[in-house]
Amino acid sequence: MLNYIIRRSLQIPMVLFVLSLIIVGLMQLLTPQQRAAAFVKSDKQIEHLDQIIKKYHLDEGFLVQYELWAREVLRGNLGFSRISKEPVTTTIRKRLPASMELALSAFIPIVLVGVWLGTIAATHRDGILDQALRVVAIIGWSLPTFVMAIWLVAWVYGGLGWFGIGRLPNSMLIDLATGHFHRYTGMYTLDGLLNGRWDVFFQALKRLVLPATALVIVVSAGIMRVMRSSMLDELGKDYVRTARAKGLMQKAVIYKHAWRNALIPVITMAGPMLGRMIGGIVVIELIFNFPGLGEWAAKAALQLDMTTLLAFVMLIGLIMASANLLVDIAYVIVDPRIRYE
Amino acid sequence: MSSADALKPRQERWYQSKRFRRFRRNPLAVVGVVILVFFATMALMAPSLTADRLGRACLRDLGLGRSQARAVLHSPLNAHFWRAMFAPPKSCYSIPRVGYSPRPKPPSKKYPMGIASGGYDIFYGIVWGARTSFYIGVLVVGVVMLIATAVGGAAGLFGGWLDNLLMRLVDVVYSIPSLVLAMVFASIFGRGLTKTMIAIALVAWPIYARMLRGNILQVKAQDYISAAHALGAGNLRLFFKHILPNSIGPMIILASLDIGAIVITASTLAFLGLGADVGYADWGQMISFARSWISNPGGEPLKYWFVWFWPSMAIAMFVLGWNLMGDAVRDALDPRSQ
Amino acid sequence: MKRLIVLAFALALIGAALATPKDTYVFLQNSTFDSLDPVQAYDGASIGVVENVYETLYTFKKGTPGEYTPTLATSYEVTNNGLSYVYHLRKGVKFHSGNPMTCKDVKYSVQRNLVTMPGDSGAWIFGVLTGYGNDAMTEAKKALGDNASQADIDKFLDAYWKKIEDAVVCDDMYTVRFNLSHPDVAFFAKMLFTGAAVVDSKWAIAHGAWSGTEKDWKDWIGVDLRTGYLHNHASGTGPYKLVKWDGNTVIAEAFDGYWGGEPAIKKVLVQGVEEEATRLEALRRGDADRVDVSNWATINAKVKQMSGVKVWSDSSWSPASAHVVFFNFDVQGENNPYTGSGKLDGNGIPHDFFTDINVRKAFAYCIDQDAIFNDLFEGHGAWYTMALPTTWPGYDPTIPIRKLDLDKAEEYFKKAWGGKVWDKGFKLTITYNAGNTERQTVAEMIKANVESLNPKFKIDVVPLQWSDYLKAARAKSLPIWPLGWGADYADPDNFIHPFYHSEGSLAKRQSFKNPEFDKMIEYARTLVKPEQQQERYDIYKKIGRMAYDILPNVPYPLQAPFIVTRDNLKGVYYNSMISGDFYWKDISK
Repeated sequence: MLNYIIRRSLQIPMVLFVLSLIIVGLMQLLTPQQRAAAFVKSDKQIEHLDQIIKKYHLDEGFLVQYELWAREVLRGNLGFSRISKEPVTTTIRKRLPASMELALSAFIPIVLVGVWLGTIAATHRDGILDQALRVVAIIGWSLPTFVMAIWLVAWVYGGLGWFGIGRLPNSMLIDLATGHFHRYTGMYTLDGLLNGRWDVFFQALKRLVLPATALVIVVSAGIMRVMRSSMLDELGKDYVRTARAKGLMQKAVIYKHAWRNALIPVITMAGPMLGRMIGGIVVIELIFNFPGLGEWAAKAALQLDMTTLLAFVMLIGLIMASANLLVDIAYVIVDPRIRYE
Repeated sequence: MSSADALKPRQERWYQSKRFRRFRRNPLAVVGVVILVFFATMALMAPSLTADRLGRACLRDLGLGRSQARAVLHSPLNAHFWRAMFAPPKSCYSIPRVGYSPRPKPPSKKYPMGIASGGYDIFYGIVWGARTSFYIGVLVVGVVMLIATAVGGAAGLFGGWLDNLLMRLVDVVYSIPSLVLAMVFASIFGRGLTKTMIAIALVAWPIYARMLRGNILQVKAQDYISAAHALGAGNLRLFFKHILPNSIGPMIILASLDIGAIVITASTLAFLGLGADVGYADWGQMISFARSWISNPGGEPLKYWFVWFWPSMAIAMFVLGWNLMGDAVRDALDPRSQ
Repeated sequence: MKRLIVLAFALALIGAALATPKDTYVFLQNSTFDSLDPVQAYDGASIGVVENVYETLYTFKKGTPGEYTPTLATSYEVTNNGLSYVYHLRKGVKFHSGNPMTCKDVKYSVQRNLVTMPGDSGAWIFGVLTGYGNDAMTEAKKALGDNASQADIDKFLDAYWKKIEDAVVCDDMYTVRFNLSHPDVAFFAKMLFTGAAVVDSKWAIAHGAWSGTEKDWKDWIGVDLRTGYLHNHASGTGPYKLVKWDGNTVIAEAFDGYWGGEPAIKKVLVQGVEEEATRLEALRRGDADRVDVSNWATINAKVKQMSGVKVWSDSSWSPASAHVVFFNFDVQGENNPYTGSGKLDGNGIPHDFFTDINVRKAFAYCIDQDAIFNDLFEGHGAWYTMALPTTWPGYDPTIPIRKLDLDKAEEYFKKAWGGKVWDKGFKLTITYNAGNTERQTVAEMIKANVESLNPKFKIDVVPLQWSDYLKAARAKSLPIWPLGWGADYADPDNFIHPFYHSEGSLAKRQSFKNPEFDKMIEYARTLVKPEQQQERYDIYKKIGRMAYDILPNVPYPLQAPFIVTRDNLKGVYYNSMISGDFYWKDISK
């Protein structure tokens, strides 16, 4: 087991290496002038275009560019982000908590809703409830994230005036910046509690409701699907039939035995679910004016800021690879039948 | 008939299969098919449906005058009709502008779905947008299948270190959320529909490559292949004649059902500003431009409903059609539900 | 009880909006900040903060961009035939750090421009002090070639440093003298640009900025100041001190040691919010005091129906910019995708297509300026007769404007290239920056009108991503394109030279050269004395009139400025030379 973990951990840097090669390689499709897009913001600076290209080595070939980049990365320096106007590492440190706060606040509802609805669907197999849930799931699956997010903003926030967008009201942002507010985690809900500032906690929570809802709708349909089919598998197994034959009450059987076993395949969904969540976060942050990593990356893509994009992909690669590793480990712990060599 | 074919399990016609019957009896599948047929008809008939409102450049490239366009594009006897239907010039995909005012205008008789900010005719965008969506879906799936066949096929056929290497590449691409990677690729390739499609195709293939490889290994292990091998069929010939045709089926079906997901990714990229050029008939972009008119603070909240309603319904229904069908097909193919 | 708590919780989450307090000003704008280092800041958003945190020697009078009022200086005089500017500094001014402001700081601040001169900053504006418009290294390479020996470069750099050293001199603690390399009529106006804002030198040096001496100046040549301490920290003399710049948000608070008295607004938050609907919602709820709005259509259709909101506008307000359609007189590039076949054969245009005045006139008559004014701006616009802000001296409102006239356009197209244009037809591409609706509209208008004249005329309209635009503009490969230009400093030379001089940064890109223009513009630059100004302005008017016939570019209307705020904000005014339209210190609630 330990051996397996070590081997898998060693694969992570390889994945990141290949990813960086792919992206830096594709960047060679651009001319030096195009690569300067993120460096030159105004028409007035076109006069100094050549100077800027020289200064940032934008006219160098693949090997030189890769070497320049890799050398800095090995020193722990991911470059300077032209989008956030500060070193990439600083931006990640500042913005990762925001995205994490959003992801964490959506995580539990996602699992609860997905598992719950999946169980209901399975226990009512082919019944009206099952069909209805199926249709709802497919519709949820069919709506692009951005369409749903826009609707939430327009109707719930704009129309009804409920909840909020952004991370905190502007007046509170000023208050926190000029007063004494210690940022322990960078997540306003937690920091609000730790500082004993209930108003901050409430305002931050209030602004998490809508984006988290959007994420829940996007992600939980997949979990529901897996939960339903794995639950059906379990219900069809001999031990359930035996239990039923023995006269145990059906509900107890389902929840005690089958349900627990049916959860195991759901764990494998964690990887794809996280992927879907990250994709959703990029769009949702943009629409809800939530200054996290996704918003940063989306802007970088629009302005062709390759340093930022490269760093973002590396970070996501690291997160995804670590998550997948954790899932595999968790799988072994939960299901002792599985052995990794 | 070669002796290897004799060993192959006899196949029934597809419409006789139990699977198809199960699919046909699924009401959701029928709904899905109806939706898609509706969109397909709309896409195909786009030139006729919009004959009275084609843009100047489109008419120019079709070689038609405005006055004759209507008659010509409604008559199947005319050569122009077929040309416009199957090979319309690129300029027809640009939504013609009715004035330049940034203010949306509600539906009227001439413009049944209203006019979006910037004078864009929404009806035109919806109709031609259906074409764009099929175009995106079909082309991306095509490229995806090409890549997946090349990579999965090579991995399954040759095995060994090549298999290992290719599967690691699959792992790497698969490890990044497809939207994130597509966003990065689209950023590098630049704006434009073709470039967006390439970007999407480059991130969507890994799962199919892996699937094909698995199927190939399965087929390879089957008796009739070993028999053919024993009879001395060449490696490559064997691959293309027997292994590939017998393992590629599920991949083709599942990949084409992915068109819904692909259209979602494409519209998301368009929304982020990485899609087709401005004014191109593309639903995602139409929503993106409707953004500042979705809410109407302080006024009648539904006043500008038409700018976002039609394109978002179009995307949702189109994807829904594919997903309903896809769900039913997956169910039908799922051995567990037999 | 339990249910009650849940209900209370839910209500708290839904909750009412928080209005901003009385001493707070919240501004949601559409762009984010680039750098808060005064030398590096060269975009509206950044300068909008810098101008309130730092101060220049003089500044603009409230509502009038052409009039000035002393701030860190008390008076100035021009001596030595316009080659020396002497400023007498205000005494008793303190920086945010508590350090007193003296001539040393002024000298340090201006020289920091000359030393670093980052290519993507506005530091070139002060090039007149040394005679160089680029950083020392670039100039050295330009003068000596790429293969120059280290010794030669060192010699060049030493001479460059000498010029920097001589450019700014402290006559005493409170008198600073600027020595120009040549007379520059716009120098006083240039000193109002935030690049010359006075930085706390003691504080800056203590935090690792340039030491202010020859010792380490070479390390700072052409440096990207976004990596420096001043990029996101500030110590100026302005009424507000920077509290923090975090992501899209800048927070500042009133500086209680401000020499001009404490302002009414004590706390300021400026945030970049790209989504217009989001900005408007915040404004409606009172969580913002001012927001950026894109156009008059949105104002008329949406903002005006919101309660508690005020739209400020005035017919006397005019933007400090000019927008024109450029013609390229010598389109460059092999296999240029924008000029079709490259020949006048109906499938392209030759490289010198636009050198024929008839072609330019025909195109000018195809721009529907009334539609721009009425449809795009809903009647709230400003007409332009020449490429100069309409309220600036030198602007001539009597020059006629070519409006849509398809008959005249046809007449000129028939005359063009001896009739060949009309017979053979042509094909070309008009480009615009993707995302710019106004330029897109202008391009599509030209296309629609030109194509309506003759079926052989074919025009494609292509949006260019910023990256592709840079490439094409650099290569001078665009045949015809709309473009806007905003003022760096309030002197007509900032427009006349780039637009009409063959060495001007815009005219260069279209290969436009008119010896008479060049001579007039260069002569106007020597008219530095106050009594010569009228002569100078007359020259500009003459250029404008001549440009009507020569037609190097076609100016078109601009949207009239407006400001959208909550209705409790008082003291709002519009000054086109202030990036935030007004200074924060002048408003109250």
